Amino acid sequence: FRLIVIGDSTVGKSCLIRRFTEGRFAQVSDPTVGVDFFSRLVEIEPGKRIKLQIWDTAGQERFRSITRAYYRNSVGGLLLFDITNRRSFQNVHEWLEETKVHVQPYQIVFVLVGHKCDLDTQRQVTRHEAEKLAAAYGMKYIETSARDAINVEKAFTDLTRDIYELVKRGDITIQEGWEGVKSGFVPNVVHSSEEVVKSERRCLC
Amino acid sequence: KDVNRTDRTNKFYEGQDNPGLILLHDILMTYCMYDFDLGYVQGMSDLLSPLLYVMENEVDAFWCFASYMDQMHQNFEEQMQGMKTQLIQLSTLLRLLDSGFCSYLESQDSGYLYFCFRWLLIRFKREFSFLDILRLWEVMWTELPCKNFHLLLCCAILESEKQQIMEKHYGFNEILKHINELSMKIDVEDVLCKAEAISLQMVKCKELPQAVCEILGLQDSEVTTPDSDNGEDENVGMTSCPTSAFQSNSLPVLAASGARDDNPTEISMSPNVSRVTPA
Repeated sequence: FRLIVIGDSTVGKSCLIRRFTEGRFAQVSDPTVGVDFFSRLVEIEPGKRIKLQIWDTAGQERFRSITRAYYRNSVGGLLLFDITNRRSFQNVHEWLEETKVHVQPYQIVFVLVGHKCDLDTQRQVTRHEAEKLAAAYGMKYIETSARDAINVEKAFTDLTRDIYELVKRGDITIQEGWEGVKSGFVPNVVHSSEEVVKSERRCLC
Repeated sequence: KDVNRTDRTNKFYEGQDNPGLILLHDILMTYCMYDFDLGYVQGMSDLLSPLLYVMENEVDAFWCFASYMDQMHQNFEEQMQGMKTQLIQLSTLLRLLDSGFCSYLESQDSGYLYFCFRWLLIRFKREFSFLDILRLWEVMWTELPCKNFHLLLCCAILESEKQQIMEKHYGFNEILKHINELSMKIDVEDVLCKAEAISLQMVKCKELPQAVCEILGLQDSEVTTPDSDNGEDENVGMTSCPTSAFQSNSLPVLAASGARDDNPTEISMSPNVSRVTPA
């Protein structure tokens, strides 16, 4: 499955993906310029492994003309906002509109992610209102923290499982010339964020 | 906000409340006022950081940054027209150097070379160490050996990675991933030599397409005025180069400076440029 991670700049998109794919949290990370790519396998049920290709995008408006090119071929997306930044929550609506226009005729299954939930004392968006907004758009809502590794696995695997169900039910079909979902042989290796060493060694080959 | 995430491992910017950070912030704010229509765009902090490091002074660094931004302005504008132009120019150059590789990239939906976006936007700032960047930028600012030398640097890096990309049959995803992961692994000296070698070959090339001349700023003097001993030159070129080198599409070239005699830089070329005289 190909997923895309979007949201305002500095909400923590890259950190969330890094935690998920590398099991690490960087105190400082350079602002993303353009688009980055990550991948990881997840096991959604015993023996059923799915390879996720995750696109990390630059959050700033100006980069939209480049990042847009990557929406189209994605089947799912994590739409992030920062729970300590009200503005990033208000922009969720615009992000959805923006992607909707650019993925037609396809659709992206989104999950709304309230990020940085470890900073609860600085919270500017309540869980209740975020859930309400998510429900209004038919999305699930989850709160995560890359720093404390809360719900990071869950955010990605739940989304993957939902997409898998939709594919199984035939609501999403594999189409020629669309890269969102591809079926095929997946190598028999699962590395999760707990097995960082193994994955790093693999990369050196 | 990006101030807090620019080059924080560098001594000049590390730690909390470092005066370097305040300067970085203040200069960017001043620039926002100076060019209000453009505002702040991500990537600018990357361009400013080395300048401030060298100038160590807010006023000087600001004016250096402002004139650097004069060059880079289009890259940061609303539609990023500068980026689009550069990507097209890069693809023109790459096609001349290696049309086979270009076709491969196109077959993998990567013909627009979007994977070079970061290289071009912030002039390799994230690809090399801080000190290497100081060196590389200084080279680029000389506009020597030709205009848009950074595009030839791109070509040099791509040419080095071509084999792996094509042999492992990398697709759209893998190409982007591979290119992004080159960060901090590229040898600056090596790339400079290769890029210079490419520029020398282009300058010597007798039938350089007009578009390429324009990109590299090679007008009149070198290209359109034919050499009096034209034919002889080509003969020299042919004889001084072993025929096998042409057959393997690989032309050994010595970069004028930098490359040592015992270590000639090899650049592989597509057949349509292999008639150029080696330097």
